Amino acid sequence: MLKVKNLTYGYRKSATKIFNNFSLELEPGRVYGLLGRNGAGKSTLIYLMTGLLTPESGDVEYEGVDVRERRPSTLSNVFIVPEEFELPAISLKQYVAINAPFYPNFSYDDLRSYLGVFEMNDETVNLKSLSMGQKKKVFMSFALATNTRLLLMDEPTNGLDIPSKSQFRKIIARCMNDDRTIVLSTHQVRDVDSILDHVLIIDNSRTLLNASIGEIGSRLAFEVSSNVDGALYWQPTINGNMVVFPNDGTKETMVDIEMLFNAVLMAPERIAAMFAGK
Amino acid sequence: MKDSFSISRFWLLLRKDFVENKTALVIGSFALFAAMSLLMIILSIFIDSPDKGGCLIGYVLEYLFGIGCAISVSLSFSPMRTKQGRISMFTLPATTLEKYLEQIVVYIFGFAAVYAVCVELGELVRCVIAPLVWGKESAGIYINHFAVLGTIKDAFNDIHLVEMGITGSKIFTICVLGVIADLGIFTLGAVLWPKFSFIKTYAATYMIGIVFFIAFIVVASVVDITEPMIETLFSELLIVIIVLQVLIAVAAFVAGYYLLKRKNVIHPTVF
Repeated sequence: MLKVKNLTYGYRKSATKIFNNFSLELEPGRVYGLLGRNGAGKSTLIYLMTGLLTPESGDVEYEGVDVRERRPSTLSNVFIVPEEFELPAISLKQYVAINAPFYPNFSYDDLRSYLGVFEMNDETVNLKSLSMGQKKKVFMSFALATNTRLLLMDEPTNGLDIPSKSQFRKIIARCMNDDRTIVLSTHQVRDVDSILDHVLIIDNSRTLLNASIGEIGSRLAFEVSSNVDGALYWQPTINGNMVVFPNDGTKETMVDIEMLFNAVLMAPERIAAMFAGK
Repeated sequence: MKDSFSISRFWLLLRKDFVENKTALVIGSFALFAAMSLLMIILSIFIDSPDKGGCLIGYVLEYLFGIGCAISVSLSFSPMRTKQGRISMFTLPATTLEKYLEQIVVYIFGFAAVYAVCVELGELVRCVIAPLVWGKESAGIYINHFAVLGTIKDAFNDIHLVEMGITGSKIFTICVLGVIADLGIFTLGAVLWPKFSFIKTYAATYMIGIVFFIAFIVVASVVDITEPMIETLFSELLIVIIVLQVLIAVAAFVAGYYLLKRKNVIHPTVF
């Protein structure tokens, strides 16, 4: 669906490249978690994937078309929910009326359904009068209702209260299908770990991990143990040490995304070797 | 979805812009109407007849139209002032040409239409208020300012200039093309510098103008250009100016489009 090929990009004043010969491929029917340290380039990668930035070299292609051409046929299948966004001082009804026609697969029924889950049913409300969390719920509902095949969200749970985060997970699970790809770039891994089925971890212009939850679960074990010998990563907790071990294939444990992230950053070469040739 | 220019999508862009900015448009139009009415009432002191003093208001309004258009077009592409606005604009499923032309239609032709309406409404207000202010009935004579446009060419006609091949039509053409070239430059400026566009574009063109002026002085002193020489070549010089204005207008509008096509959501601030 979306292919990032040999991408090189750096901000003009910086000599350090954020991405250097970086490649990636997104498949349909998956919810990707895009994780990385501060400044790793998660938002930059999202902008590059939507044609909002020009790479120094390399291409980003959606269905074989360079996203930098910003063709309407591409843009109508790709939607980005940035970390910060602006909404005009008009009612929700007006906002939908003037923006929905640009998206041929937009569904008013889906929109009402998602707004209902978020408890934002008043279509006459002025968007400027909403709080940040409410604006986020409205905008995300609209984004999901466009039914674009590729949906990218940067820090989607920022500004959402605890019940809203649960509603968000419910909606993402509901709207997924075999044709759709969702990329969630986030630091708040615990907000989205139950809905991810593929993890991407980037750091220093390279992909440290690109694997499905199933593959991660078959190669790594996440458990509480007093023994940390051979551990890839461990941290003390009230209940004992939370440890990430290589999995010999005999254990079935729940993947802890936060522990996984720390383990990958701590032992990137070991992790890479474990997932090479998967 | 078609990737070539679409009239229906262009219409959707116009509608979106109008709905999102209708409050600002209404307030701006009202402010323009109020300012023009006030100016026309003040200038009514010179009116003794539609020909005496009436033309003055018309010429002032036409001069202000050029400045107003430049300011208006400098306000275009306002979403590009913020990163969030640029994300919205660039990811909206429409071609860059549709987005570019939509802004030109709104901020040039839309402004021209609003200006024309404000001129007419301001004239009606002037006819009522001016006699009361200036205490003379002649101040309230209705003037068709659009008819004054037709007299400009005649006003430029001068026997001595006509003998040199400099007709009122040529000067009028230069004035009109000058406005169009200005609009092209300020449109390019609006894409290049969305923030404080008018000031930056004016400063840039002023500096370029100074450079050309200095170059002309140097060339004139080296080549020893004399006044009789200028008078002889003036007619040909006007043709050159007209051609240059057309080239500048086309180049500026086309450059603005290609610059918009290549804009990134994050860009370094230049000037």
